[in-house]
Formats: sequence, C-alpha cells, structure tokens
Amino acid sequence: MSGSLDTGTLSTRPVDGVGESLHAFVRDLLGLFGKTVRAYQMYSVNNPVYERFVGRLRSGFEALWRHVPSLHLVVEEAGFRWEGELIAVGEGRDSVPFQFYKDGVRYITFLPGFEEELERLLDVIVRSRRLQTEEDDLVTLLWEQEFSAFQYGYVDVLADGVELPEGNDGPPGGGISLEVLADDIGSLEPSFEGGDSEPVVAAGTIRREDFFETLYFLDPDELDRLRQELDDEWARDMREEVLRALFDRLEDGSPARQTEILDILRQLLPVFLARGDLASAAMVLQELEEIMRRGDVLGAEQHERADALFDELSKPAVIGQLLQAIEDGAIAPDRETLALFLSWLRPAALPVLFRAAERSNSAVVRARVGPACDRLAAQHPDLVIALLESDDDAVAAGAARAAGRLRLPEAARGLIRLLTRRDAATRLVAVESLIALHDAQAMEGLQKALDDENREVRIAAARGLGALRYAPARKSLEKAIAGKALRDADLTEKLAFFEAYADLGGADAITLLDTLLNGRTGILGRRHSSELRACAATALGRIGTPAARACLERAGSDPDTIVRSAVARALRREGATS
Amino acid sequence: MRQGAGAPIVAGGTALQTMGRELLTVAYAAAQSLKLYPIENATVQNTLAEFERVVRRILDVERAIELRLVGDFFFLNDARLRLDLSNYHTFSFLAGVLGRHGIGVVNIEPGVFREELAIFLSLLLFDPDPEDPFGKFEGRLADSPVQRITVGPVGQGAARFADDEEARKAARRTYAQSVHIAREVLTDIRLGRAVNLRRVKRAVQSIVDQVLNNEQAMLGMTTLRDYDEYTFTHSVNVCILSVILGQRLGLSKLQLYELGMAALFHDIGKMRIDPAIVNKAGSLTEEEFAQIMEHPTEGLLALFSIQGLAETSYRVMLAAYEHHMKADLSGYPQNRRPRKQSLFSRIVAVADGFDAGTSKRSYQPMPPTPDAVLRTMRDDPTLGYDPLLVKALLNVTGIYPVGTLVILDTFELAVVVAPSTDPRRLHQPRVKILADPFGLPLARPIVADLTEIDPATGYPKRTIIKTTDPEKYGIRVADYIV
Repeated sequence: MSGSLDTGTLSTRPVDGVGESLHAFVRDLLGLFGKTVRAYQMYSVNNPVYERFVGRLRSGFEALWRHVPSLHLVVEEAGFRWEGELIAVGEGRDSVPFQFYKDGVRYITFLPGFEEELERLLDVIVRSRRLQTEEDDLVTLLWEQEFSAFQYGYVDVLADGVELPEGNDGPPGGGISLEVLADDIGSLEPSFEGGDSEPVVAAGTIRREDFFETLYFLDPDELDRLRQELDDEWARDMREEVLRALFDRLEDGSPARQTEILDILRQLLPVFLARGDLASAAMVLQELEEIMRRGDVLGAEQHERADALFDELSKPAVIGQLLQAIEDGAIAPDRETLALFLSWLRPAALPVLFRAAERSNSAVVRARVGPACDRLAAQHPDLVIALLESDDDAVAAGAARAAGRLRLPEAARGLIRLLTRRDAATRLVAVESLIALHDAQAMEGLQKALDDENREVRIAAARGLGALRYAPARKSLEKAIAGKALRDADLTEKLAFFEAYADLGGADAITLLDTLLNGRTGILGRRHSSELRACAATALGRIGTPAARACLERAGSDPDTIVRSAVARALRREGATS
Repeated sequence: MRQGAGAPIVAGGTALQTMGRELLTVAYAAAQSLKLYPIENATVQNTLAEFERVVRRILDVERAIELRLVGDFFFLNDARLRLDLSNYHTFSFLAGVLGRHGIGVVNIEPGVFREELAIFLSLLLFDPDPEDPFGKFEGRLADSPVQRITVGPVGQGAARFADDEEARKAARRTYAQSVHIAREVLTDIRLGRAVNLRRVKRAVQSIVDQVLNNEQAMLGMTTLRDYDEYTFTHSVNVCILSVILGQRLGLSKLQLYELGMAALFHDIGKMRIDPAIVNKAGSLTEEEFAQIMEHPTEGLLALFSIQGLAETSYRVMLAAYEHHMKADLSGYPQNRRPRKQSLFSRIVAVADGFDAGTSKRSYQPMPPTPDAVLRTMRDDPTLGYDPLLVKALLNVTGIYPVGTLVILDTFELAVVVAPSTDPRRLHQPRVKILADPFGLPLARPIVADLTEIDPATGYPKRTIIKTTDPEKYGIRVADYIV
C-alpha cells in the first residue's frame, strides 16, 4: 500500500500495510474523536472551533477508508483496543471508552459512510453524559439512532441472573394416553342427530373455509388502507385524546379519582406552558370551567381544588413565568392562542398582564400580550376601570389601553384623572384611550392635555381633538396658536395644532390664520417666523374655502421660500379638494 | 439455566439491514431497466453501476454476500431485511422473480464484475422452465460467464433459518429478561415505588430487535404461559405479538418501540385493583367485575405517575385506556366525548385477545385451542376486534398458530412449532411429531414441514385433520418450541 493518510494533524508518514503508520494514524484519529466529543459538549455547533474539529475528524475517516474497510474496536475500561493495541481516549471516568464500557458496550465498528453520521453519534455520547440514571443510557440512545455505518455490541447486564426457560425435546413426560387419542381420532367422523339436522362435526376438525387464502392475505387495497391509517395515526393529537379521557373520567369518577385526575391536570399544566402548548392548557381550563359550572359533577373538595387551580395559574409568579418564556423566545404563541389561554384566567392576572404589555423589555411581549388580554379584560370591565386608579403607572396604563380598545365609556373619568399622572407614558396612553372612547366626557377631558408638559401628549391631544372634530376645543387651540408657547415648539407640534385648529374652526379660523400668514407683528412690523407662517398656510389649505384661498394667493410670491413652498402645497391641496 | 458473568454480547445497529435494503432496491431498479431497455442503454448501465457499487460495499465489509429468501423475508448474511409498506412492492417483485425459478439463496463472492451481475439479472428475467425451474436456471448460470454468483434452491435457506439455535437462544434470553423486568416494574407500581424506566426501555428495544431479526423465534416464546406469573408473561406476550403485528404493518423501528411499550403496559391498571379480585378463581360478582372494568382507567392514571413516561408517549397511555373499548366503542370504559380507538390500541387489543384467549386462567381452566380462538376473533363481530388487524394476525400466526396441538391424517400427534414459510400455505405449518401413528411417543420428536410433497402421490405427505387440547394429553407445548 502506498500513499499517506495526511489530514492536518494526523500522521503524515507513509503507510506500509498494517504497519506503525497506520497504527499511529488510528491512534491520532481516536484521540481526535475524543477531543471532538469534548468540543461538541463545550461549543455550539456553529462555533468555528467545533466545526474545525468535526471537519478534521471527517477527513480522517475518509482517509482511513482508503486503507481499511472498517474500524473495529474492542471496548475496554481503559481504552479502545485495535489490532492488539490499547488506545486511551481521554482519562478515567470522563473518557469515551469508559463511557461505552460502563453501559455495557464491548465493541464498536465504524464503517465507510460514518462521516455522514458522525455528529449524530457525538450527540448521543454527549446526551448520555447528561442523563439521570433512571431514564436512558448510552445503549438505549444508540438504539434509537438507527446508524447504518456504526455498529456496536453490548453485554446485556440487565439479563444477569435471569433464569432462561428451557425446552424439552424428549417424549411427553407422562406418555400419550391411547384412550384419549383414540377418542380424539374417533370423533373425527361427523355424527347426525337424526332427521334433516346438520351433521355435528367434532370441535377442532378442519373446515374447508380455513383454506380460503383471501381471509388471510392482506390485498393491496387493504395495505393502502392500513398505510392511510398509519398516516392518520401519526397526525392525530394524542395529547388531546388523553385529556378527553381524563375529563370523561373526571365526570363520572369517585371523589378519590376526581382528586387524582385534578392533581394530574395540575401537573400537566406547567408542562404545557413550558412547551408553549397554550392550546392544550386552554382546553384544560375550558373543560374544567364547564364541569365546575354544572355544579353536580365535582364534590365540594374537588370543586375547591379545581378552583384553586385557576387561582394558582392566575398568580403573578406563574404569569410572570409565561411572560418570561415569551420574552426569552422559548415559546412563541400566536396572539389568538395566547388570547384563548388568557381568557380562562382569573381577573387577578390582569394587573400582571397589563404591566407586561406596557413595560416589558420585549417588543414581542408588548405587541402580543396587550391585545391578548382583551378577552379577559372584557369579562371584567369593572376591574379594568378600577385598575385605572392603580398606583403602578404601568398597570394603570395597561388598563387605560384596554379601556380604549374595549371602548368602555365608564372609563372616561378614570382616564381623565390619569392625565394628572407624573408619568408621561401613562398620560399619553390615557390621551389615546380618551380619543378611542370618542364621547363628550372624554373630549372634554382631553382638552386639558393640550397644555401637558410632554410634547407627545400635547400632539396626541391636538390631533385627537382635530380628528374627532370636537368644536368646543377650538378656543383652546386658538389660544395656543395665538400664544407664545407654540412659537417655541417644533414643526411637528405646530402643525398638529394648526391642523386641528383648521379642522375645528373652519371658516372662523381664517382671520387668525391670515393674520399669521400675511400680517406683521411688533413695532418693527416684522413677519412671523417662517415655520409659523408655513403652518398657517397649511391650515388654510385644509380649510379650502375661497376666502382661505384668497389668503394663500396673497402670500403666493412671498420672498420667504419656506412660506412660498408651503403656500404652493396648500394651494395644490386646495385645488385638489375643490 | 441461569445467565452468569459471561453474558453474551448482543449486536446493535442496523448497518446490515440498511445495506441489504439498498441492495434489493438497486437490484430491482437494474432488473426493471433491463426489462425495458437494451443493455447498452445509459439507464441500464447506470442502474447496473449502482448495483455493482452497493454489492462491492457490502463485500468490502462482509467479505461475502448470501441473500436468502424465506417466506416473506429476505436475509442478508443472517440479518433479516424488513418488509414494510414502503418497500413491499420492491421486495415482492424480487421474491417473485427468484421464486419463479425456485431460487432460495443467492451467493455473491468478492471480485464479482458488473457484467456478471447483468447476466444474472437477465437470466432471472427469462421465463422459468415449468418442469424444473431451479435446475434449468442453475444450468443456464453454469453455462454463462458468471463465476462469482451461485444459487441454491428454495428450502435451503428456510431449513437453515428454522434450525438456528443461536436465534432461539437469543429469543429465550430476551423473553426471560423481559418477563423479569415486567415483574419488577409492575410490582413496583403495585407498591407505589419508583419505576426504573431504563430497564423497561432496554427490554422493549430488545424485543423489537429480536422480532426484526427472528420473528418466529419470538413468536414461539409466546407459548410460554406461566399460570402463576400470568400477569407478567401476558404483558410480555402481548408486547411480542403487538410488535410482530406492527412489523407486518410496516411500522418503523421507533414506532415499534412505542407500540411495544404500549403493549407492555396495557394491563398496568390491574396493579391498582385488588389482587384477590384479579386472580379470583371462579366467577366474579357484578361488583367485582365492575372493578375489573376500571383497570383501563387505572392504567391511564398509573402511567402518569411514571417519571419520564408521561412526557414520552400519550400513545402508551391511550393503549392502556382504550384496549377494551372495541373498534365500535361499545366496550369499556364508556366515552362521553367523541373518540376513535387509536390504531395502537386496536393492535394491542387483538394481541391481548389472542393471548388471553389461549391462556389458562382461573375463569378459563381449559382454554380453547389457538386456532379456535383465532376463528372466533375473526368470525364474531361482537368481540369488537378490527377485522383487518385480525387478518394481519392470522397472516403472522398462520391458521394453526405456534403451540397448537394437532392430529395429522397419519394419526400422528404433533405440535405446531412454526408457521408455514409460504404465505399461500398458511394451513401447512412446520410441526414436531410427538407420537407415531400407534400413539407411541417418539424418543425424540421429529420436525416435519407439512408443505412437503410425497413424490409418489404428488400430494402432501401429511395434513392436519384436527386440532386438540394439549391438556387432555398432559403436554406442555412450550417445551417443544422453546
């Protein structure tokens, strides 16, 4: 044989039959195997260090197959034995050979093509290191893998001391009773009861129809049917079937059985939640609720247990776990499923949910939890309104948002009170929800927000009032526009006020707007700032009457390009809408 | 005999099975292309190249190829190649082609050329000689340039397979170990102790392996029915029968494992019923029967308490819960919510029905013969077994299941030790003759294949004319099978 087995750090000496070079190569390869196991344990599969190890190991095996058809190793406590040589791979109880040995494996054989299965074997070895003794071991895990290029043999230590059944190929112990045999043979003749009755044939006598093969063959149609059944079987939700069984028996069980089933359900729920299977969790709660509502199914103690289950699920600590799992990305329920599950909780869950919807660090949580709470919130509007008074701003904000989404008119007063909160975010939510309520009381309260110290709040209030065409707010807007405070505001805020003023004032707003656009101010008779004049132009464009147009045309050749541009846009808009 | 420290090494892994299935697949493809196109055609050459590649790969590892056809199964160097729903057409085509020429064994030696493989396949596609198919084929093969492929007749492979002492020893070992573990686990559950699931998994995996490698040997083990340890042997027997059935239906290895677990635990609920009722001799009162009928529900609840299992398989739980429900749901427990009995549950029900029906119990001191039980399961719809699954069971056991005591037309007394290897001859199993036509016990029972034809008459040498009860003769049939 010629040619080297060179693959990086593996031996590069020329191969000469089953000589020292091949031994050295195999030694190095197995050493690399041990290191790769370690790398798999320590690094993620994307890690370049791990990828390098795996790459070299694959190349090593590929090179090996050019020289040997397989690699058969005897497993000993201290190492792998190949061609008489004991090769240590790691040390002591952490070593790969010991791991195989302690679970009973006594030989392993690598075959060509193992490179494709390599990572699966690494996974099995590492998983088996993390097992608790009651679960699996290396052999049970290997069995599940169905390797085609890796074989192993193990001593079945479980069979130690077990007595094997033995046969007996001698004559029957007591001999054969000739009388019995004669009686058996004699009864083969059918006997007639007389007349036209059917002959009585002795039991056990063969019948002609026993030979009909079609009774025993599975024909292609039947095979197809079975194949379909298998596919259907695997598509079924067994969890749901098991739950239905539990609920069936809960309904007709003794008190002791009911208690046991409730305990099982109590254990199952966190399992479902941990897996993100909120649909199953919701099913459990829905069924329980239905059974409890019937009143005549559960005993008093069992009713209490079931009730306690709901209370426990609705506790902040439990809800917090669910939210954390969503935030970490461990589970990703869609909004509908999340809403379904949450709708079965007790109202005590609402504060935690509201808080998370407003303040969670996770955009996913904020996006999904808020709307998902609505079903639960809708069942308890009084609580939502009460939570507007919560000292916790986040809870109050969440309640405010829910009140707006659910359009709870009774929430107006509470929302207005929120406008005095120190937390700007809470005030902003209150404004948005007041706008959503769209009733007179809400609008009345909303005007207060025009003077809010927070820009976002002011802008939202102005826009809201304008969009809802709340005419009584015109005076407040006029005051703001004519006042000094707005002069210092940025363009976005200015525009929000001017547009709202135009929407509410209509033709009555033209005088002030014209003054701002075309008029002069101060002793020196200067024009107002470009921004203010541009906003006035925009507002006039929104009004769109001939009088408004005339005001705009007067400013059509204004030397200020910002103003001229705004006027032109406003005229175009006015032209488009006229 | 007890196993000592020198316990044998069990081979794991499925490399040979995988290579074997690949071999048959490429052989099928090559044969089909040869049927359609001339040999020079590119498709033919490609398929032959693949065939050669796979053959060489196997020869590199195994040094020789012996492909045997025994009944429904192919064996590659003693590894049984599983017939399932995904490959049965490929297998049955090749089995048909070989069978037409009376070929039961094909041997391929190292160094075989592609041309030899092509010639061999081409010869297979010829019409067989009606009078001496095997002889004619062998002659044609000898006259051809093929040097490294030889064939053997049908029956040669079967005989070797049937007498495989190693396989039966492995089956005995697996069986004994499984009963031991079943006893441990079920007792632990009765006493409320923690269950060592790992041992159960190993046992079921071992059963699956044995069924895949040598179904007949494991089937024979189910005749071991210990009256005193009925619960444990019954659980293992139902496990074996279910896995065999599942294997015939084409379940994958992992699916068979899950089915095996479901079957092993199917009666676990009885561990929570008063043993005095479970083991009561004589009839049960109405109240006692009502308690027995709770065992499916008790089984479902018990399985939740097994750490590691509740997460694993709801199918296992459903089998324990549904196995007495009947396919039309008229059994027990009654359902309040919509349900369809799962396929696993129906398989376990059939296996359970057969094993329980053929076992001696306190309420059934003289059980019917196995063939009578099968007939009843097949013909009585009120029993609620899925008829297709019963048919599949019959396909497995034959008309006269292993352990049936029969009287032959020669008036010899015999016990069925293996079903017929020919699926068209399920009524002609392999038997061990215990007594001669004069009723004299044979010093050493002889094995007879009832498909064997008497050349003088052209008819089978022996035929079963009656099944009978071994209890009448004081015979323990398991002695002659194990």
